[in-house]
Amino acid sequence: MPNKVAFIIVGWNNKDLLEDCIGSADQQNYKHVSVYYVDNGSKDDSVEYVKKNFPHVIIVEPGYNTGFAKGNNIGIKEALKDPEVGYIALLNSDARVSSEWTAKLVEFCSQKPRAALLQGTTFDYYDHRVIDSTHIYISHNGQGTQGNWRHYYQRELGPRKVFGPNAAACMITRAFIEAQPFGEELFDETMFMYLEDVDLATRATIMGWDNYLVPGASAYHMGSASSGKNPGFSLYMTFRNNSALLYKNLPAKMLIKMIPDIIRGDIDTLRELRRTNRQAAAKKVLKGRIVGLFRLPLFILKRRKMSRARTIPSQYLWNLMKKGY
Amino acid sequence: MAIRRGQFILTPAKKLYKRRKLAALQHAYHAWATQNEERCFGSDFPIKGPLVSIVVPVYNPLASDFMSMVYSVVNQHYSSWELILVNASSDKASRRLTKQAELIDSRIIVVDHDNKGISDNTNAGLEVARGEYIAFTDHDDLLHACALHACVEALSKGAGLVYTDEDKIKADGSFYFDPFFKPGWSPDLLRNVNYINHLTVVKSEYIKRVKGLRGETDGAQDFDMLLRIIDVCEPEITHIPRVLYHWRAAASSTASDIGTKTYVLDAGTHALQGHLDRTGVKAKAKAIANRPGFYECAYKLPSSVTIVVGPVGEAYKLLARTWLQDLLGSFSEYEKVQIIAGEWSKELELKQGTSLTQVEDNKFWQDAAKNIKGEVAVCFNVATLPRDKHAINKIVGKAYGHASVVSPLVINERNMILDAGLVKGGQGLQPLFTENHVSESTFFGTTEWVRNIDGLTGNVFAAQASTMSDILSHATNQLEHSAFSKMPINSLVVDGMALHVFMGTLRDAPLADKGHFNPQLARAYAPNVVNASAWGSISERAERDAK
Repeated sequence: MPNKVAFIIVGWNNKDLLEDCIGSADQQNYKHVSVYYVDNGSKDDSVEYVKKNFPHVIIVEPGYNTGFAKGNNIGIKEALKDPEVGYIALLNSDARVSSEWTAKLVEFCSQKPRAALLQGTTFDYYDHRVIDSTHIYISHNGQGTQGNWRHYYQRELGPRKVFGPNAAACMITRAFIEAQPFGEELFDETMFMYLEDVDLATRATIMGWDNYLVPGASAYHMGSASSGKNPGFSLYMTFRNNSALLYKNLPAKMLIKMIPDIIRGDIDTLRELRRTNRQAAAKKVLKGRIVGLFRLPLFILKRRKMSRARTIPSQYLWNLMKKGY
Repeated sequence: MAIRRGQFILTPAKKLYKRRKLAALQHAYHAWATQNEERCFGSDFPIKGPLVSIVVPVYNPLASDFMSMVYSVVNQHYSSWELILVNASSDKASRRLTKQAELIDSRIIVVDHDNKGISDNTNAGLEVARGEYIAFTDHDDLLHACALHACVEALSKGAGLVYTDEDKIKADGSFYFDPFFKPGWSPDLLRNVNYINHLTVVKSEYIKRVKGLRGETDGAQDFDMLLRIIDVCEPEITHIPRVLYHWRAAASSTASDIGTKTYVLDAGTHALQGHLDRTGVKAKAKAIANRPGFYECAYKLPSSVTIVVGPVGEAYKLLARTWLQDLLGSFSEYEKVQIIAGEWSKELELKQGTSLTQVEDNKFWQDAAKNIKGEVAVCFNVATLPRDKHAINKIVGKAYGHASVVSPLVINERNMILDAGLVKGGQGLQPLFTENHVSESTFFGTTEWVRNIDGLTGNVFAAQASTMSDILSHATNQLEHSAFSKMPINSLVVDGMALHVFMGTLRDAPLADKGHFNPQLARAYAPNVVNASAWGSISERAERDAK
């Protein structure tokens, strides 16, 4: 039973964060670990930095900015060439994991043959009492939401089957990667960045696989360090990919039921942005939504493939799209 | 047709007000219940320990309900469990779904079985169970994340059978409503209704001793097994006062259309009769006609009964005489009736077989205690009349058959409860169900049930002759209700149903930390304890009026 864990870290111009990030992947209690670094065409000398300080890390250079989705896909493909690798751990460059994280997740997986995606509790990087996310889900108004974001940590919330994990620090089982219907393309590359982890989580849930929140494992995440310098971009991409996410995965009846809530959610977002005097951001949101709707034809074939792979009853899926899950 | 007063405005307004209050209560409960799901009380009990086997007979469930159930077990905090799914569905899709559930977790076992009735299916699952403790769940109900942890913690402290509170959840899982906060161990309540039901965790050796469920009691097979375990193995029974089980009110379960299934009523009667025979009680079990799930025991009556009427004040003598005359006319099943009363009862018209013993007022209770000649004695301190002709027989029969002190539910002409006994609350003994109607189903069960309570008000009560002599000889001239709080088990009988009230949740539960929900009892903690004898005995009132 292959039980090696391959860490995949995608970086773009964040050399200052790599020391903590790759360092934490190195200091795991679980010893059967290999680390891969995918550099998306950084202009600073991240690659040399990694080569010098972490010589055992395997570096993959696509040569240009492939985005988060394609960068991870390249790293995963590289990692799966090693037959011993049973689990892929994704780590954002602005995140780090505690030392027992891998051991706890692998031990949890051993009892769950249908586990696809897992995460522990991800805390805020600086204030360890505040949760960054315990899970990720699509709410009833169609928006991808981080669960328990900015809540204080009171007690352990796992073990629990959740809708999906936050890709900042998550683990994917090899069995799921080999079973999912899009072949080599695990993350959807047409979504350049943002919401492709929600898309993957939805895909796992719809296919009948399980995503879990594992008790006892902690990770720390800064939140949007790469594109934090450009918040309009993140809003634009989120709303652009949102329509694709819903159209690709959800059954038609559920989509139709959700349309009034989606519109209401969008209007609320725009009103909130106008109220707090962020008119440029409001324009980005609107632009993202419209561009996203025009891009829907790109996902027709994928939608058809997904609807054939769907095994879960839609009432159960609807129940999972709630706050606690 | 005559128009009744209040027909068009007042009565509909009152009904609407009551309905809205109940809806507000249910919504308040739902808000609390969603918080309760997150409440795992920090106890140091380890999450790995003795194995618990959860046996679930699966028969054509709705796919989403079934998956919710399986995941509610997978998400348990306590990790030493095994889930045994007995795949007895007739529908192929359900069979396939159950088989796939085996892949979810390595602790799930699926047993393929042909549907031979629910008892047989469950027994097939019990054969495979390896656990030290066994829990039963329905195929579409949900467990709280801490259910097994709390139950195993209680079992490891020496209990043999543990049961928890439960509530209902709507069919689509969106709303929690109608909780049932159960009393502590009440053997007489169990003879009235299967209040223990879900969630029950038992030691597996007990189930092996009683050899599992019986096919002839299908429909009430868990009630039957519970009674057999309690009779044969005599386990120590603990109640966990937390809502840890959610019973889905789906159309296919017995929750909604039990009334149409007569075999369920017969099965329950058979189970209860078996219990009565095993414990040597001379009574016949009957299912109550339009109340599915409620049973009553028709006891063998004694041949002679004594009625003791407490001291009556000067102003009330005529009233007492009239009342006693009516009382004597309301029942006729006894060969010998003895009346023990004061001097005022001289001019009563007595029927054949009725005798009168007059006792002087200055040593009333001691003399009355010495003169009891009947097998069962009923003591009246308030002028109440039975609602129908079987009421007296119910309390007399119960006192005779179970050797307990029995008191009826006292109600007023608008069916509001005046006296339902006393239970230990936040501030000592407090009256129960003071603002409820007689057949109201509250969050603590229906008010008419037979319950075990902690104390009597002493308005009306019945006991066997020896017990009654004991009680009365210790009473002072003013019969105080504290005399009865020393009795270990007191029962409460209403004209129609025997009630016991024994409320474990009222005992030492401060509102905030243990996750108990009782807005109905919130005023139990407010400083307006009703003086239980506020309406006083006849003699007290007479004294007060004389001043």
